Amino acid sequence: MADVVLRNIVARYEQFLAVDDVSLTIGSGEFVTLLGPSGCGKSTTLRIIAGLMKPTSGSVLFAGRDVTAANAADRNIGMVFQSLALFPHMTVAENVAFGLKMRGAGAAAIEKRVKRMLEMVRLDQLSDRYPSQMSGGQQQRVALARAIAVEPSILILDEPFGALDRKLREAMQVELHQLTREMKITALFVTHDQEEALMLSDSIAVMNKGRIEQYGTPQEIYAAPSTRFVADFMGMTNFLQGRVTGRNGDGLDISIGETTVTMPTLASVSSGAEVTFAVRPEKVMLAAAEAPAAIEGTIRQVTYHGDASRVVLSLKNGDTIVALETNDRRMGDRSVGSKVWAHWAPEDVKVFAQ
Amino acid sequence: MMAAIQKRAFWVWSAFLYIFIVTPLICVVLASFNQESVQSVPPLQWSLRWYGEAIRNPNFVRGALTSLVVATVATIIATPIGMLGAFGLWKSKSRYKAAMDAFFALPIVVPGLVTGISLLIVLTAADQSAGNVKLICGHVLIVLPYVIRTTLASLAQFNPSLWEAAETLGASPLQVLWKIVLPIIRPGIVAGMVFGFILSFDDVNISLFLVDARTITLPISIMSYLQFSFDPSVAAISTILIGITFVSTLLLERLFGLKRLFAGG
Repeated sequence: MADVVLRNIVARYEQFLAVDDVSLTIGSGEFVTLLGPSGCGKSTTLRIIAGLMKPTSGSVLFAGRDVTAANAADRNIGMVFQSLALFPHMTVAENVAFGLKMRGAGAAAIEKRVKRMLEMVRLDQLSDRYPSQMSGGQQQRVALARAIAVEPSILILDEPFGALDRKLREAMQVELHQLTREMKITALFVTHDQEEALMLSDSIAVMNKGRIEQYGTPQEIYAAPSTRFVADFMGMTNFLQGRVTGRNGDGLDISIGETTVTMPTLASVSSGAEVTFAVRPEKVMLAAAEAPAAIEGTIRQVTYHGDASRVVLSLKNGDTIVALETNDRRMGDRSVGSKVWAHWAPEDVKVFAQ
Repeated sequence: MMAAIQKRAFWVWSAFLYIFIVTPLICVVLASFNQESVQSVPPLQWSLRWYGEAIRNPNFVRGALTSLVVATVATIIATPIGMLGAFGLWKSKSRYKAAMDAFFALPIVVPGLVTGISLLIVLTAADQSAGNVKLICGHVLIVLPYVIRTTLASLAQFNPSLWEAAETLGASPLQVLWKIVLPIIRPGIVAGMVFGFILSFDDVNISLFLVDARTITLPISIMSYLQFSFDPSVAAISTILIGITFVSTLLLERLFGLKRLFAGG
């Protein structure tokens, strides 16, 4: 296992800039996720690391060695594809053995390694089956075993769980987490699913329009998004406009329409400035009566989600706030058209200067 | 109501097509069992007499052997060429790709007559007088487009991620072709070979110009036989050909078609 470094990677398809100056370091044994919507450049970045595509400029280093010009076959990587790409004409054992054969390993060594890999993913009983005779989850594990069998410098996973149903996906995520930590595998994972990214990763790079918007631990990305895009992508989906009216101890007073609420400090914001602030729907509390620093709204829509209900409010200034309320803690009337007051703890708000 | 009528019309039309295709074949088969030396369907009196006559006819036997050798050798030569052509087209990013694709189909499009005459002129000019060689050259042209076509069709179905997966596992392009692509598209190649082989075995148009007195193919010897006599031995030899074609196609479908299903490719 080795550390992987990207230096100023640029990838251009004719006029389209797919990757725009991306630099990234993946430490040895670290699990890093490229997270972003489709078209953000994460898959292109992954293909460049795998060697399936050459960057327009920039360099890729594996354990300090420049591999930018090397083909995928010469990089010693293991890759799990979105379509899994299991070889349909080979048995499970032959699939797992393929990379070892290509590296010229001896028959006895291959057999031993294949057996160990299949035991690891609990498929040692099915080694003579063909991929088409297996379930989706089993195929997934074959793909994983095949990629890890060659002891790759880096394990690369391209949205491997996208096609699985929710339950199976969660089981595979747990399995992958355990496997990569136990074997101390350096891994690069690509997904558009933020929950998956949070759960699996040591570090997450959130990508947008070919650039890395933020690189940090899951906790940092979730709790302290540095840009509006990251906040939005990580589920901080209520965005409100306000004007800074003054300082209040450690916080800022921000007026939204007629209401003034206190927010945590943002050093670079001066009085009178327009700001955007964000708060997660699950952090919005609803009160039945007017309270200080609570914003009046009218309920427009309520949807039931089992443990919680999603309440959409219209504010007087025309903005919308969504609140996700736990059902057993709910108090007061939640019928459409009734008035409520939305409020939140100051620490649950993230302020972005404009 | 409309749907029911449409369904019935569809059935009638399909039945008509099947009858149109199969009736001549059935008539030939029936005629081959005549006792008399006249063509009558159904036979007035049943017999295997004309099968005996056909098998004892030295021209038919020699023709069958020549056709078999020519079709086999032509298929063996055309298959690797066709496969390489198809691989080349598949990997090509040239803007002339479509044009080249059409170019490879030329032997199907150009009338066999023209191909035959052209080959005759060229091969005579090259002083190549051996009938076998001339025939094989012509028949490679018959088989080639079918191998290219079916190989290309199989490659179009090939999941490109498989190529990349093999590459990331350390395989060179040649190893990927040999160990991944080839086994997966084999049914397509075999289908093209079988098609080509049967068409080569059947060919009259091109062969007509390339045969000589010593090397004559089965279809041509049947044709020349027909010029002088019209007895059921021709029907008998046709029935044997129908049988061989039918059985070999069935066999290959069993061998390759089912295996492909099994392997999920």
